[in-house]
Amino acid sequence: MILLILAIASLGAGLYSAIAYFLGAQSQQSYHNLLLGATLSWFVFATMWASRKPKP
Amino acid sequence: MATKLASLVSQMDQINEFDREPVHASHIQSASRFAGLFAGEHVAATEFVIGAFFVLHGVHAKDLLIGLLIGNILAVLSWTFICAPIAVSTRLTLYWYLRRIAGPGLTLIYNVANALLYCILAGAMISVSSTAVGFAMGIPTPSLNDWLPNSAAWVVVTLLIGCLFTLLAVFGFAALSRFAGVCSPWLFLVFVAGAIATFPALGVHTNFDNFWEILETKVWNGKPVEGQEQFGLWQIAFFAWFANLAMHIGLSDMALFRYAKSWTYGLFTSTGIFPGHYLAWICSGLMVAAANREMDPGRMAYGAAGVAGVLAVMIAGWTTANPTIYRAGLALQSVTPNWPRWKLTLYTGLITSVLACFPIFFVRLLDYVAIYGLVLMPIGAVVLTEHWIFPALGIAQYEAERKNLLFNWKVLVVWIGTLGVCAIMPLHLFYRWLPAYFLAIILYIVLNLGERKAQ
Repeated sequence: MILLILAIASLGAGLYSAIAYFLGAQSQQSYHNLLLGATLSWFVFATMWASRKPKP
Repeated sequence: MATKLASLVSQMDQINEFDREPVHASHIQSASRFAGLFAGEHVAATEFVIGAFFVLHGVHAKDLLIGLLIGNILAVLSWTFICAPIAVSTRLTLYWYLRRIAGPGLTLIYNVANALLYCILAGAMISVSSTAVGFAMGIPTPSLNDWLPNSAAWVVVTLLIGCLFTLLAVFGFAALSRFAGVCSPWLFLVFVAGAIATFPALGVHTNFDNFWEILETKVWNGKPVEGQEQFGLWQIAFFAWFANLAMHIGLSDMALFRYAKSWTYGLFTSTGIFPGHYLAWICSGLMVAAANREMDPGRMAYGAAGVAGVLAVMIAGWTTANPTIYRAGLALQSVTPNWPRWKLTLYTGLITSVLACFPIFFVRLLDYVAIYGLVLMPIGAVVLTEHWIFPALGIAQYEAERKNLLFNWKVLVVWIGTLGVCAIMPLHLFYRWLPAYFLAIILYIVLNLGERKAQ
């Protein structure tokens, strides 16, 4: 469950970075970096969540 | 010749053997499974191109929003009222149902036609991915007027990407399919985040007081770029409707809906259609508007979402070309004696990679999508007529099965005749399928009136 929460939080962070850039709260470069970080984070946690073994 | 054809048909049957029997009641899937299945279905590489093309075709903002709404609702209704009821009623794939109607020989031809169309579609997806790599390497993307490759570098990059995608499809189709499932939510994030990030460049105020004005003047401003015809509300509506014509009206998605408990599960397609064919198309429109209205998905995505955007274009092309290459290989397996699956996928992928070098399929994607649906639509009309209308008119069903025909010539006449009429129909390409669909139904009924059962 924690992996799923972390994966969804990664997507949330990516979306937040775009909104923050639009509102002028961060630079375009920071937005790009944060979105890339959110991307990597999503792939790590979502892949781990998707490949977990079901409990017996 | 007849012996060889019969042998090919036998091989095709073996490939589809697993699906021969109607789905058993114990294998019926839940509503939530269907909702989840469709949710990630329609966010693909082509979404980066289609939404952007609407901007280049000078659509007005209001026409786009209303047109997409109408078209997508019609698409969902087509799945719900045309495809799903036949699938639930028969519990068969289109392949096995068509075989009873058209005969195994004609079903084979349908399979090969389908495979070739799949190859071209996968080629377009590889081309889209090439724009991302080309952007990173400074290779110019073909312009909207380029039908042939614009540089040797483009050919090399596209072939390399195509070969890479093909090898990945050969070695890890199943794993990559799972990976595609992981990608969908992220791709959707990149579309939405990229669109939001274009707002400052487009001049949208943070309180959104000029939002509609910006959409009408800087994005969907009703001015087509040079060389592109202007689209109106009905072109948009029809495009959204027929974007998956082969799947709903063409009945390919019987393969999925045969597992549905009820035909109403067709409504679950809206969980994928509206995010993918509404929101994602709008997002890519915003991105291309912020990129000076230049059709270069790689550059457009980089401007809107940085490196993550370029990765999204690349990965979206990869994950969507992968099953398309695989399906094309599967369809062609019927005509390639005893070839193992890997070899078929390899050859299909190589053909697709060569096709991808020709930008015509990518820069004329909207027309290609229309033709793709149009070619397969008459078969959907035949099956619908056979399933619902023949019993009502007292016409005996399944002539090919009853008479043990290899080819049902009536189906062939309807298929070729309908496409012939479509070719000369004095209507915009996007509208032709609808009158042609009714024409195919009427023609098939007329040809079969002699099969009316004695009352």
